[in-house]
Amino acid sequence: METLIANNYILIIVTIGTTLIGCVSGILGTIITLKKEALVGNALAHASFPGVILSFMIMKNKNMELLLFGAGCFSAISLFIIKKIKKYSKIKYDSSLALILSGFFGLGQVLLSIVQNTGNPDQSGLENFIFGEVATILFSDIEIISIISIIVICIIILLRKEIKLFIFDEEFFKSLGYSSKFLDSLITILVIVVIMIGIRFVGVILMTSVLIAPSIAARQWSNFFYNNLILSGFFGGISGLLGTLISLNNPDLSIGPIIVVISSLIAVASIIFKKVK
Amino acid sequence: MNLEILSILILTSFTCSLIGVFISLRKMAMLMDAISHTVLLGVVLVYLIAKDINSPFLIIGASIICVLTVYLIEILSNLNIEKGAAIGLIFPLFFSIGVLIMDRELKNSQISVNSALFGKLEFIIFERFKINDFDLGPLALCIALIIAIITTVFIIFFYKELKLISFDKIFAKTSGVSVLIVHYLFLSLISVTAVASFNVVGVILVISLIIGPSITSLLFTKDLKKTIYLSIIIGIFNSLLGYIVAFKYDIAISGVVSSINIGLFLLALFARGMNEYYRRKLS
Amino acid sequence: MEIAISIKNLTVSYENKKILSNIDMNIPKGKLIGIIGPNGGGKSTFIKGILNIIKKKSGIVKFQGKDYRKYFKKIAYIPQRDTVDWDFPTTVLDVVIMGSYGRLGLFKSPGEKEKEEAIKNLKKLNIEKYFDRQISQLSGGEKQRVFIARALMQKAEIYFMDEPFQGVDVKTEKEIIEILKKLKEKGKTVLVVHHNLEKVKDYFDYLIMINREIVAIGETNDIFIEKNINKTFYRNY
Repeated sequence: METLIANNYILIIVTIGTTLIGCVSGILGTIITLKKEALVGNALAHASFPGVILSFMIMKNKNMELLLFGAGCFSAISLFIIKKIKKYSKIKYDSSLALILSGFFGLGQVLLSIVQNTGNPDQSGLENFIFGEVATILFSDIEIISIISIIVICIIILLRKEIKLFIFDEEFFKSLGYSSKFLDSLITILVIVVIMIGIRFVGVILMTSVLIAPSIAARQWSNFFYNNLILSGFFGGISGLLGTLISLNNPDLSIGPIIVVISSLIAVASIIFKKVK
Repeated sequence: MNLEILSILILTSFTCSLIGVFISLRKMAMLMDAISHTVLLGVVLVYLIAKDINSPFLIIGASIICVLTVYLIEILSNLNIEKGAAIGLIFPLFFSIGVLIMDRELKNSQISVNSALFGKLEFIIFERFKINDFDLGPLALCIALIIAIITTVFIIFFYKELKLISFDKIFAKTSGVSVLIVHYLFLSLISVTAVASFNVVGVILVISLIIGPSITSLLFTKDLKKTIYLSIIIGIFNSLLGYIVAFKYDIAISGVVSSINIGLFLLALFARGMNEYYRRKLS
Repeated sequence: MEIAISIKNLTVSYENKKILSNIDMNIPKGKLIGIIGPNGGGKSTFIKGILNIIKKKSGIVKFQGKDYRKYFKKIAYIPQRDTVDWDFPTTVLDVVIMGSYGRLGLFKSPGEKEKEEAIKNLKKLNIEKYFDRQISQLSGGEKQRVFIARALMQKAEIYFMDEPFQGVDVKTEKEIIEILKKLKEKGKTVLVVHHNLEKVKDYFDYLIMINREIVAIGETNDIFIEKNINKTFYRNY
């Protein structure tokens, strides 16, 4: 009886975590998609992979905060490189994203290879960052992730007016005395943070979908910015929720792909529904 | 050091560098990334039916799914969904379906998620191409060679059309160039290349072979032909170096080659920057 | 008066808004025609609709009696300059030679003949000394000359130019107009989308005035009058 309660308790906690992730990713996804930077998340997510492995190699343990910190650092480094490439060459933006994405991920594979060669038994589980995995997630991890999600959502709610203006009309925004550099950096940090917490659940490869699909779905239903934020959070949250439930009942399936299929189908259905109307 | 593995790697690199120049110039890099991810779904579906990883239908079937993906993305673009968002919606969906099918149906089969992601260059040489029991080499080598030849012929035949379409698509259309034919042939070609390379270096890293050498060469040349030649040379160099390092330290080949691709590009960018800086200082 | 282009019932939309509806007109051959109107009034949309660059909702357009598909090799279109990738690895001479690609068709490569023609055309535009420059190294006026030289390579009968004088210096503008006038003298039909009111009388002998509809079409001297100018440029739509 106690085990049953305990199992259900874990189930609920994990589901809450994934739902929050889906929700905050969807909201942030709307912001970056409207800024026409939809695929930056893809590059930053792939780029975080070597960070996770390197953290493990240096610290020799799988403490979630350390791994995520490594992930965040590498995402930030990759963004720095993307900006430098833009500044110092005429290489096109999408080419530099593709280079970063594959190059950093390849580096991650090299590091993983090295770790696996050392035969360190602790390293199993690093591979979970490729497609995500929730069955062995710790309660403390969920705690951290949930708190961060809520903080990010609060920040976005607080600054929703400014964000809306910034995305829509940067010149006007600046003319009101606001600093576009500050808000741009803030949004970037939020994206990196969300990627950091999201990759444990859906993995680096599919993180981009968790950001983009809910926002595409939301866009089909509303022309208002705030409604888009709410709807994308809602769609993202549902995808996380359903995805977790299905994944926990089908342990042979990775959770990342399940969440992606659900949120993508919601998006496709929304598109078709809008066209048919 | 295994010459067969090296040959497959270098041939694949050659083909990817060649198409990479046009993909970079036409801003199709992320689209190509989407195509290489979707290859997984194509391969999985054909495999479910054919049950043989070496079936020729694999290449054809998977390529068709890739072209379908591009078509879907174009449809979404026409519905006013931003191109980047359309790409980010479609390819993870297809890729995830592929992974889920593999998780559920193909647990102990010839394709695994690991080899799909990272390639099985190390093992691919065990499938041989035999005519009447005469061993002509690894099947993958023959395929890589054929695709390299087809690609070269295509680029030579359609060179001026590809150049014009990459440079000024609208003018190409209005000046009588057969944009549609060349475009769709090009899409088919890159899809076939993606499928063949999938086996070699896996899904994620195909794009690295395609983009790395071409953008590195674009840093230095102002002439399309020179860009192509330089791109091929850099691609082969990266693969050769990557193979040697991977072999020496016993690390996955695809990861090493991919890291070298980005490493060399950043090095070249830095070197060029330093060169300009000192030139300005001295003048 | 021979007719170069006949247009019946043309309706074109841009981003789901109807810009032009049910246009009928006959455009005469051998004239230097100005297409003028306010921004957003439909000038570019008009020629893009005729040339099938954007899909038309309705309308039949014939070029000397033929469909676009049968005539397009005799049409040269010079778009507004931003459609091109300026960082593309190519030289001025090469860009001009590209003008012959449509004529050559699939599988044929440009040869010495095309190269000589290209140099001749560069000379007509006074930029033959830039022939081996990479195109991003040119000024606005020089870039425009390259595109005109490229259009000349097409040996077309009808030329469409979309705002060729934007961002171009006075000297270049003068030289371009001279070339357009020479084309007219050879019997070619030249249509130019022009973005302001200056020099309309000097440049064009025929006008199409557009502001969400055809305000007027005809000889410049006849229709470039205050009533039409007001209707074109100062009416709220």
